[in-house]
This record gives sequence, structure tokens and C-alpha cells, in this order.
Amino acid sequence: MKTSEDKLNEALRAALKRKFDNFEDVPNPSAFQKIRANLKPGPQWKYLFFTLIFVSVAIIGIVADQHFRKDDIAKKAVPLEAAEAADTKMNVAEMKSGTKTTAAKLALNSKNLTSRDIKPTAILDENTTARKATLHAFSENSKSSSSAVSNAEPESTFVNPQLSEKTQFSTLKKDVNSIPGERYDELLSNSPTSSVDDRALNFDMSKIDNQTVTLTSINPGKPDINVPETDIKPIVKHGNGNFNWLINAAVLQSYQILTVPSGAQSFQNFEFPSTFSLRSLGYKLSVGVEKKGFQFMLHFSRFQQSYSYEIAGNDYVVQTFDKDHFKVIRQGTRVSQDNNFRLIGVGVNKQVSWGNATVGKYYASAGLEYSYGMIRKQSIGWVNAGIGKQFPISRNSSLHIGPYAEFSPVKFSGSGDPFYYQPYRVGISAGLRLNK
Amino acid sequence: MKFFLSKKFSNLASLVKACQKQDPSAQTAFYERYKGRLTGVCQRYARTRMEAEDIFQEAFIKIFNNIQDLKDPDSVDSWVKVTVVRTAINYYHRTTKQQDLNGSIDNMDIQLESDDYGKIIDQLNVTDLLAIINELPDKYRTIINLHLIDGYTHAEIGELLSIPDATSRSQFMRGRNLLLKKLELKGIVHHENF
Repeated sequence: MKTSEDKLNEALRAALKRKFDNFEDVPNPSAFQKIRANLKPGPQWKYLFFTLIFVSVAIIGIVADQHFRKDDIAKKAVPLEAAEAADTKMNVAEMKSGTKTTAAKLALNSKNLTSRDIKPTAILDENTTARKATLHAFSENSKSSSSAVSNAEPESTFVNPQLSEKTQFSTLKKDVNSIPGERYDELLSNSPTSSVDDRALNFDMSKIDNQTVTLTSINPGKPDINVPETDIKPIVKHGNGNFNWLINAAVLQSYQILTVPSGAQSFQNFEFPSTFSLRSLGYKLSVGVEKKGFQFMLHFSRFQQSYSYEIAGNDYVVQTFDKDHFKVIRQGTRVSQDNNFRLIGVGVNKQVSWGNATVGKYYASAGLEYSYGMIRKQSIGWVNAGIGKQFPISRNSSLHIGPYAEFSPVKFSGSGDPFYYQPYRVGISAGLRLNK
Repeated sequence: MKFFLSKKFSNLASLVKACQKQDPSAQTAFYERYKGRLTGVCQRYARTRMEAEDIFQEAFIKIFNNIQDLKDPDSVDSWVKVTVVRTAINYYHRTTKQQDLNGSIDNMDIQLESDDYGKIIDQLNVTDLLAIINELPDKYRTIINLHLIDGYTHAEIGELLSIPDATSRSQFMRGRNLLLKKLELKGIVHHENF
């Protein structure tokens, strides 16, 4: 049984519900911005994503660079070996078969040193390895030759043109003028168009294994070249297999991305040091080792965050300017922050270098670092990158210098304030690389 | 009202899930969906418009920061409203000093019939009615809102406000009587105007 109180309550409830069930109003337009500013920072997937992309691209670039560099070295090494073998071969042959053979080879080479004339070599080499070709050439010459022309043809095709030019001219230039003109033409007509000598491919290589060749005094006629010691520039060794010691110092200007929550308190009128300020200057000292371009470093660094802000109050001051214009200023209490950071950390970097070792190589490096704050007991992750130039000091040491930057991809919270920070540092890094 | 700012949130559950992943566009859509209704709720529970804005902001911050805890996305409407109500209650727990509650209205005579109060309420515009509710002392206003408009029982109110059920009932009675008194005055004024 409903009492009069219940009836009254129901009547009120029904009337109020009718009024308020669909009641809506427009919030303060700036409310959403304030709400967004107060939200907990979500996981920094965006920064992690870009960091991962950056690191992946760097690693792929480094691996690709090393892969192609190895291929290049391998490609260069084969002709060099061939040329060296050819050089040896020619000298041996020279000793054994005398000037006739040598003169014929010289004639061939002196007339046919252009790349166009050496073309058959490339065709040849598609079917035979360079090493085989070298050995073939070597064997052909190590035998006592009866026909200078028939032996000279395959030899000339297998020898690296540039190197053979150098080596052959160095030993045989005195014989150039001794070849008769008609013999010259004969050689010319035979050499460029001649096909592969099958004998070369079918040569029994076991023969050469049993031959003893003495390579001493192969160029007795070569004049000695005296280079003054002062003209010799140090070339820094980059032994891939050895450890290099690294000592580094950097002067870094610190900045930060500051996330300001509003919540119960409002903050206003932030002031930061100027772009280049002594207050936000820090340093970083590093030592470590390097092997195969990977640097494992220990770091110690110091930097300072200085800024001030106001905690907004409820008092407003209306100032008049230009007669009819007013400016409302919200009063606040100013707070200054001087956060000192002393960090110890470990990091790994990958460095690639290029350029001429005698005048100094250029380098680029990228890496990751984990730091722990000795004062604020906070962990900070860093992504860093640097470029620069290495200057050789001695054979075992070099100086490197260049711009350097590091960025913390993850926000961390302040200890004495409600803000979130993302520091980044930019500066100059210099250091020494000492070869073991 | 724009229920969904972005077309990529095809239903409420997907919007909530995106908010749980702290997707900024989802948060914007979510805000757009609830801002009007929740502003209205805040204005009922608050004493002034400024306080309503504070409660509104604080409530939305709580909502976005704790939406990960919402297990059933379909119950988001009621969860959002409960969060706003709890925020308002906490706001006045923090800020309200001991208020001088009027004990003399306990045994106030009811002058009008039940339906007459309903008619007065219907005749008033929302702004005037809000002004009447906002004038009530914090504790009365909260209980009137909770019991009469939002449908909480006295047991639930006791739990929310950490008070015994009986206290909730007695404070409701006082608050209601004060409201009726104010409505009567408003009604008379309105009658006089007509």
C-alpha cells in the first residue's frame, strides 16, 4: 500500500525524470584539451615503431653494405691474383725461354692493351675461373716454349690488362723496338679475334703442382724508389678481427619535450632556457671496445633541465592598454625546476666508415643505450646517431670528431613534479680510437 | 548529437576497444558522444557551473584513464554515468566543509497535492529547475539527484556516500522537503506572473 509520501516521491521522480533524462548541455570548449593534457601517456608505440624502423633500416644498410663490400673485395682479389701470377709467370718464362718469347708477348701487349682488344678475356672467363686461367697461363709459360705467338695469345687474354701493362712494361720495355713490323702485324691479326685455346681449359693442373718455381729477384732491373719518410702519411689499421679501444667525450646541449597534465592544478607561463644556454649544457664520457664496427660502450653523462612555470591561482588581474583594450591575467605562483641528471649507461653502436684512410675516413654510427640515473634513480633509454671524420694520428691511433645526437623515445615521469619528460641532446663528439 | 565522429568506429564496442588502446581519434569520438549528456549530469550534482566543469573534466580523465578496466563494452553508458556520479560525490567529499543543514524542515507541512508539484516542475524550464536543485545544500542535492533522478536505492546511496541507509533516508526527506518548499515558492511566483 503506497503512502502519501511514496506517491509524492513518485510524482516528483516522474516529473524530474521527464525534465532531466534527456538533458544535455554544451561543455566548456577548452575542456577536451585540458582532459587530453591530463591523460596518462599511453605506451609510446609510435616512438618505438619509428625507432624500430630506424634501427632496422640501419642494420639492413650495414649488412647490405658489408655484403656488397665483401663481394667487391672478392672480385678485386681474383684479378689481382691473376695478375700477380701472370707477372710471376712471365718472369719465369722470361728466364727460361729467353728474349724471343718475351719479345713476342711484349709485342702483343704493347699493341693490344686497350680494353676493346681484351674483350675475349671476358667471354673466356665466363666458362673458366680466373684461377684456372692464371694457372693455365703460368703452365704455358713455365714450359719451354717453341712458338712465341701460339703461347702469347692465351696468356694475353688471361692477364688483367692494367696490371699486365704495368708489370710487363716494367720488365720488358727495352725489347719493344726489337720486333719487326711484319711480325707485329701477324700478331695483331691473330690475337684479338682468336677463340679460347681449349688446351688452356684441359690443362693438367697436376703438372704445375710438382713444379718448383723460384720467385726471388724477379725484377732485378727495377730501380729503387726512395720516398722521404716525411711524405709517408699514417694509415690507420682497421683490423676487423682485432679489438679497438675507444675513448670518447661529447659536449651536449640538452632539451626536452615536456608533457604537462592539468588536472586539479593548472600550469601556465612556462619559461625555458634559450636554445644555446650554459645551463642546459652537459657532457658525456664514454669508453669501450670495437670489433667489426660494433662498439660496446660504457657511458657516464651529466645534464640539467632548467625551466620555470606558474601554478595558476584563482585571482585575475585586468590590465588596460590602448584605452579601450583590456587584458585579463590569471595570477599564479612561480615554481623553478633545476633537475640534475647523472647517468651511467651501457650502449651498443654500429659504425660504418668510408673514404680514403690516408686523408681520414668518414664515419656514421647509430645505436641504442640504456642509462640509469644516479640522482633520480630513473631508467632512460636512448637512440643515438652520429657522423664525423676520422683523422689518422699514427699507425695505431686516430682521432674522430663529428656531430652527435641522442633521443629518448620513451617518456619518463618527473619525481618532484607532475610532468612527463622526453629528453634529447645534440652536440659535438670527439674521441680516440686505439688499435690493439 | 554526433554519436560517432569517425566512421571507422562502426559500433559502441569497437569505439570502447579503441579507447582502451588509447587511440586519440577514438577518444575524440567518445568525448563527442558523451560530452552533452555528462555535462547535464555534472550540472545537476554541482553547485555552480564552474564546479560542474571541474567535475566534468575530472570525470572524463578518470574515464579515459580507467576504461581499460571496463570488461563489457556494451555497458559503457551506465559505467560512464556511474563514474561521473562518483566523481561528483568525491568532489564534494573533498571540498565541502561542515554545512549547516536545516533541521526545522523535518516536519514541514506539505501544502500542495503530489500532482501539483509535478505540474510546477513541468512548467519550469530546465535552467530554473537546475537553479533550484543547485541551491540545495551539497548533501541534500546529492541524495535528491541519486534517489529521485538517477534511481539509486537508499542502500546503494548509503554505500556510495559511506553512510547508513537510515541517514540516507532522513537526509533525503529533508532535502526533498526543502526542494518542495523551493518549488512552492517558484510555483507561486509563476502563478503570480500569470
